[in-house]
Amino acid sequence: MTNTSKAPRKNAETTPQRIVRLLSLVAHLTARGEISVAELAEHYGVGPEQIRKDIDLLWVTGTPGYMPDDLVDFDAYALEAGIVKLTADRGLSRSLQLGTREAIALVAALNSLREIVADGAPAHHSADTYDDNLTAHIDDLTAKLSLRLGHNARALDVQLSSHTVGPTLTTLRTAITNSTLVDIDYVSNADQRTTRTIEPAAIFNERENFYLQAFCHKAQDDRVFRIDRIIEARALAGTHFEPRPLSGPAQAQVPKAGELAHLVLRPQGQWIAESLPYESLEYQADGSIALDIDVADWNWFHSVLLSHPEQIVNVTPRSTLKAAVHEAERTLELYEQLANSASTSGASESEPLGEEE
Amino acid sequence: MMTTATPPAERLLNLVIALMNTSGRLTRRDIQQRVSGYAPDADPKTFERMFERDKDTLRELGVPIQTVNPATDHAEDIGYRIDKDSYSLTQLDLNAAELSILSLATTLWRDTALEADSTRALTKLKSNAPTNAPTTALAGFGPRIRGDEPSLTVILDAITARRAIRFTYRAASTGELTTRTIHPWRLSSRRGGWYAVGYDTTRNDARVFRLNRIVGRVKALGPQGAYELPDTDTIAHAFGQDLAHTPQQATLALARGRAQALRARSHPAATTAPHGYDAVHLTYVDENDMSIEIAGLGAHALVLDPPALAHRVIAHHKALAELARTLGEDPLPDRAHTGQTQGEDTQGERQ
Repeated sequence: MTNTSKAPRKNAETTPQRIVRLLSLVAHLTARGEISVAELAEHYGVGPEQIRKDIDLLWVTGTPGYMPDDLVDFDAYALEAGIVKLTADRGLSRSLQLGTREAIALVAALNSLREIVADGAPAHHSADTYDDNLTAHIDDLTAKLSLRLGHNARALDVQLSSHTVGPTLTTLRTAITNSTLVDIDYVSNADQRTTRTIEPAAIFNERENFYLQAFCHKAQDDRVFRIDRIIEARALAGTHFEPRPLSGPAQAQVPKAGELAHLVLRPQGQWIAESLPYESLEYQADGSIALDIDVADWNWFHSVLLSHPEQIVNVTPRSTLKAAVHEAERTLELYEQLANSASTSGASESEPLGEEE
Repeated sequence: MMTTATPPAERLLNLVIALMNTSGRLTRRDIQQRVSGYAPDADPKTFERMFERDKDTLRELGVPIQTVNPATDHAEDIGYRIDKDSYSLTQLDLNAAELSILSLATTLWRDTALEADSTRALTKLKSNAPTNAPTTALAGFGPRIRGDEPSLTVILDAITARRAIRFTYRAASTGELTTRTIHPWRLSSRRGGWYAVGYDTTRNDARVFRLNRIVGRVKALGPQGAYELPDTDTIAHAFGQDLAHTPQQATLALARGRAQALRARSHPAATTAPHGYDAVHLTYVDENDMSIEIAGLGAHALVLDPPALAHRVIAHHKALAELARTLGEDPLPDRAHTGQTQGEDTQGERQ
């Protein structure tokens, strides 16, 4: 899907965000000596002009009195040459500690990454050693961060994976490592079942779904398959393929049919928006999400409407809504019929299941 | 001093530096008079408000501002300082690989209430990491989490502070609203849902709450350290129990030749199905997820059992019908970027 979001996802940087970077800059320069503006910009993920603004701000801060000796200072000549060299840190030389919530967020993030790594890896390295190293790194980091958290390390618990895809993932991972062809039985979004021979290349996860990027022999092109829609994967022993270069960041590909639907979702429907192959995404003033979707298969789009009506604010063309509603009403009639025949046979309703009360 | 021109970041930084470098402490008066960014002749209330906000902002960021109570009884003698050792507790040096891994891991919190925390943590840790660590081969591969809840940070803070929380909660089956006061133990994310596990002080028992059924804001109340955390097993048990973590079995009627994805995960059932349908049994864990998947199939998948799952699917279909009714009454808004004005059927019918 192409992501041509028209509005920036985030507002301009907040003061707290900036302060954290300013403090980090001074500590970093103390630890690492002199660094170029360009390198600092890259390191902190901001533009070089922002780093220069940060330096200008730091340059006028200091201890009360604000005489030259009081201020944070840099080597002016070096800066003219694009090099940042700290000459007075005014006590900010050390790194600011992590807050409890910050450390907890990192630990939870590391645990989630570990979960993915244990299930699948991209084809750039021999899976075994790379994954082992990666897992070891993750464990080390997690241990370091958890040390100071004590009980609080478990305050946040995130479990991502859907355990039903385990066996398929294992087959695919092995095939990726060995460059073996795989036959997959796949059910598409539109409920069509096909068998294809593929050259598996990389596995990734988006939200909770795992995806496989592969070269499909049937399509003679790169494709992305949702792994929980792969009913069966059979590695073809004795086969071998030359890994092709990946065509770019793994993305779900949608054949262009030229028919656009327009969908507006509530802010809480963010996750739905991100799972759809939109052409463009725009945030409206009230936070709702407007999507333009290139629809190749209207049946598929109807199923989207049927699945998530609670998060939909608006949808066009109206005809697609009508078609989906027609289906919904037909289904409701069928349920009524079922209920009628059940009541005539005296079936009783059990307590609804689910969580708290 | 042109305080109106001083950027907040500059004022806050001056405050941090002043508090770090004071040999004793600084009173409010000291701060107002001497720290650049505060107006020395502003009235006390204005200064108070600004200073309190600044103090809160800095504390939120993890800057440990200590309050030093005076020997005297005079409030104006209360002082503040930052202890350098508290400022930077344990150094965490990261190598290039570790920084890459953390950067990747923190994509988990994108678009959630914890995004700011994880981003800040990363920025802080960058001060101790090599510049320009190369990106790993895993770039673009990071974990993502579905579902954001605004109450995450409040509840998380309460858990770490061991403070009780209160909120309005909508019951699953009846929709009834009740006020709950709990001692929160843990926040869990499972398959797109956030849950808070804790001790319900009214019902005197452990409970699990689905965060998207909390109505309004969550408030922390009472003192810190109000309770002890039970052991991990107790918490896990409470969560597992209430969540019906054990798989459920549904009986579905699938239209012949359709619903392939569901069909592949189910096995034939002996139940009678309507004409043109096959009855199957299917196990699932999350009722909500399952209802969404089934609803998407329209008339191709009907829930025969359990009733709770059927109700959810029916609710989805009713919601769509309701949506259509609502929209049917409203003219479509202008679509500014295409310059078109649209009425109901200008796009024509599509098959």
